[in-house]
Amino acid sequence: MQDFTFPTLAETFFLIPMTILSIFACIPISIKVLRNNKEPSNVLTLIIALAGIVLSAAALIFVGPSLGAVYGGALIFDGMATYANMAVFAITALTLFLSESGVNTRGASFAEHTFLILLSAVGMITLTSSNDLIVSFVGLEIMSIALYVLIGLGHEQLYSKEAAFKYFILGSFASAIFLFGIALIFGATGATTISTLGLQGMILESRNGLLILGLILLLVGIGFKVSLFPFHAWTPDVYQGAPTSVSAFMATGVKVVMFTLFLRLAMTHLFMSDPKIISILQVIAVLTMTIGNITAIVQENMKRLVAYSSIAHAGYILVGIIAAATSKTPEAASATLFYIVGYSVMNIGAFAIINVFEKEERGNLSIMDYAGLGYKYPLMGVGLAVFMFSLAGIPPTVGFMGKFYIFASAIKEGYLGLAIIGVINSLISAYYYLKVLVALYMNDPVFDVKPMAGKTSSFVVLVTLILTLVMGIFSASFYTPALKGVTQLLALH
Amino acid sequence: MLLSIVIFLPLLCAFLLLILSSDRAVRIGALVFTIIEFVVSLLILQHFEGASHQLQLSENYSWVPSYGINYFIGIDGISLWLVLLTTFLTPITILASWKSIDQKVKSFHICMLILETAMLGTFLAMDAVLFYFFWELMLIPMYLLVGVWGGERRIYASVKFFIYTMVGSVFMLLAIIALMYYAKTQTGALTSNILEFYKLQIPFNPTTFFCPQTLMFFAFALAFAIKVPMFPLHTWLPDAHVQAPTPGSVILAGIMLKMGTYGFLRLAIPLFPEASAQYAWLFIGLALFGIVYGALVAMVQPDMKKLVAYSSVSHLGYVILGLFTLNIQGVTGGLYQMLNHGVSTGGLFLLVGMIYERTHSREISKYGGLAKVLPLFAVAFFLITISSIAVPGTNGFIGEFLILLGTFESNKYAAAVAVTGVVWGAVYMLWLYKRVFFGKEGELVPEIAGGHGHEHKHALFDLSLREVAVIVPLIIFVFWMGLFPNHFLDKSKASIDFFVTNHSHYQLTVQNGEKL
Repeated sequence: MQDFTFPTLAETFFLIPMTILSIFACIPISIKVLRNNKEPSNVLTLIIALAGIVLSAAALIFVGPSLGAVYGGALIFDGMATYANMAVFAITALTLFLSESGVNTRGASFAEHTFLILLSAVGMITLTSSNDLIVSFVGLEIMSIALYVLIGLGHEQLYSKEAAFKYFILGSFASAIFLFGIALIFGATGATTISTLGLQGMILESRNGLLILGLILLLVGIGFKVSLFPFHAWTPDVYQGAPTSVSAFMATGVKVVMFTLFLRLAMTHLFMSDPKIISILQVIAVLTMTIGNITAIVQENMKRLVAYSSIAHAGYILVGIIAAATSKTPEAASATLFYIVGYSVMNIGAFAIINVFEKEERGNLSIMDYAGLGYKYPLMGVGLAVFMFSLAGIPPTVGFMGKFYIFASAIKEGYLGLAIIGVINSLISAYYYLKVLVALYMNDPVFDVKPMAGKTSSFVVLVTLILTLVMGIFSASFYTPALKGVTQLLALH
Repeated sequence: MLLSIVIFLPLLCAFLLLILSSDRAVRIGALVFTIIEFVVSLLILQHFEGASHQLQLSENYSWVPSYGINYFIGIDGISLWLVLLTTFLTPITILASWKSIDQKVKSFHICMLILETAMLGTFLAMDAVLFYFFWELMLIPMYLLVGVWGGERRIYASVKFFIYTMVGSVFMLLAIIALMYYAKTQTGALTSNILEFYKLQIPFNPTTFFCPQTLMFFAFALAFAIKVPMFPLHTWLPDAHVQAPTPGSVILAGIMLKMGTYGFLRLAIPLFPEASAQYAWLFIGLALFGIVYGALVAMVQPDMKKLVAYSSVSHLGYVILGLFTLNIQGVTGGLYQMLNHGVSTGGLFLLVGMIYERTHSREISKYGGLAKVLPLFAVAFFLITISSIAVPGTNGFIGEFLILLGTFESNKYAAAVAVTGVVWGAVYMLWLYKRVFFGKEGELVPEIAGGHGHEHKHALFDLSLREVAVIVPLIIFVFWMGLFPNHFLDKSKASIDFFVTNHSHYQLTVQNGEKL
């Protein structure tokens, strides 16, 4: 940490997006309090929240992106942060749509839900924009604490409480380990500023045990949040237990920001301070992909299937991060960013469909419940089919282009083995994604399943469906901003 | 613009079908659209200069600039007839599906049209990533065609088809990426342009399997060999064919199997000349084995459709044999045989489908004496059969003759083995014909003499006008291609000559001064 300097007025402008979001988060719940615990209507809450998100995004575009770090190097609003933040805004908005109509969240108060989701988003934005590990930790905690409550909000439901408790206990441990890692890194290098850590790490002799241990602990913390093997075991339970909209938020938003932080650390070439770290990461990537996919094959529950598939996808993303950690060019990092965003789009879509058909008693969640639905509900059918093909990495979807970029950068950086294992994993995954399609289009309906959620969920399906295809066919328009942001950041190092 | 229109017109029509409501309107709409598509594709023929081996009517737009991936399409003598085969067979299959597809009619036709776009895109793409894009896109509609409208074991067959094909193609993707980085180190720019790929010198070491060129060659070859399919990677084919609905089988056999052989001709052989020359013996060996094995297995099939499916393994063996001889006769024959197989095997699947619609059985043993009951059908079946067994005067003869000629020139022993395949082919097809059409009436065939057969026997009607319209164009082509091969080969000759004479340093160029 550097000496404290009082921020200039210009620097405070950078906080406007977060401030706006925090204020708007409080409005619906304040209305509730002022009106004797009577909630504002869902539509009003949604409009307020969306207005907050739009204003915040506009403010972010207005003030940034800037190249240098602000607040004494604590925060950085570069192109990479902007890219990830835009994704966070989109994810938050889509999550709110899902919550509004979700069966699982219907019992709970939507105003409270909105408050927590927006607050969590504030934490996410802090995380993506942090240039200092301490600030990252603050962002991480803001995000996580809101999530602990959100998971448990499922009304009077046992799984939800179990999931919340599990995530809380494990998450707290992970946070503590993360913090301990920061402390050790600070002890070794005397710095917590991410952009200078790489230099510090290089200056130190390569076998500095304290730094290595600190880095490993940091990785454990991040690995838990993004569910990398062997810290993935909580994922299916929590995704299954949490209200579906919250699962979607965790599977996408949390991963976007944690992977952005991971990428930021990787791009400082900090992990190259010991070759063993890269080897460990490679092993983790292989195991995460393989175990996620193989376990997904036997899943009968849709939510658990998507959860295991999201573990596998974390493995693919890690391949990109490994490439970025040793790369001197921006392709690997921008491929990773693109993949994270693309993955979020298709995953929210898949969760939105689960959200549509799910019943309050946790019914309609097995794959066979989807039998024959493709014809009865064409939008849902086509949507789920496209999301499954996209997750499997078949063109013309974003999943294919994402995998193409990731594997291209892996091959470029000389990780041919990782790329080969990656494509073999895509093959394995195709099998269980096809299982869903088989149910959807090739089996006759077994149960009389009806959409339980309202129009807002269908809207989310439509939006993510279009995005999945557009980002697949015109990927350049989404890839280039990431490339630009990363290139600028690399120029700084 | 013309080629883009040809590629995307079916996709556009698929969207138009969405607004049609009745099944009949959808069928008519799809038929009209695909016929328009065929007419538009004939314009290619009009603008195509047969004397030039260059890439014609090309279009090149930037698609993913940071990776040098372009939307680059073009046509030459190699892809010309395959494109026309695709646009020709699609309306026929739509017409053939008129009665047999009676459920989810709209979805079926949308799948067919998307499939047509994907197939045309694969044949016309001259950018490796674009090629892969269409290549994989093809999987989705075909998977659905087999899985949704197929027979009893359709789910097993469709998943097997999907996974098998994907196994091959993912390694091809890695090889394409590797080629892109070779292009970067050798030409300075990241690109996936196939014409640029041709210029690359990929390190080759004849003493080891583990050199870049050999590995990449096998990555491509695996994808194509599965698609062809070559022995021993053919096991998905009988399942997929038997379970697929008739239109699916026709498209699968008629066009999609050609993707594999086309891939060898367009990518695997010219991109990796040393590796493909060194391992040609492997492919020739497998092709020979496939020819004999496919024929022998076809002979003992009790199911007509399975018989035709295994005959594909045998026929495609000839194509691979022709391509790997790497002389003009062999490659020309290989290319011609691809078209022949599309016409004759496509025709056989259509005819088997017609009889299946009437009796709901494909058991050969349940038929017999059909010629008396269904004379027109018997004639049509006979004409397609002689094409399949390559009787002189039909298209099959030209193809097999050229292939055998080419094989004889490069390797007499291989030619000797391949010739036996001609005999085996005659055996299983003629035996099939005898068992189904002649002899004593089978249990599904009512006796004419007895007048009003038994109750369980189905009413058998001869070909309807629609069915005649389905099969007659194919029969016309059987003889047109058999009697006047130059009408077709003249357009491809320049490309094939250029390919064969330069295959070790093949460099295709784009024809300049194009307006379309």
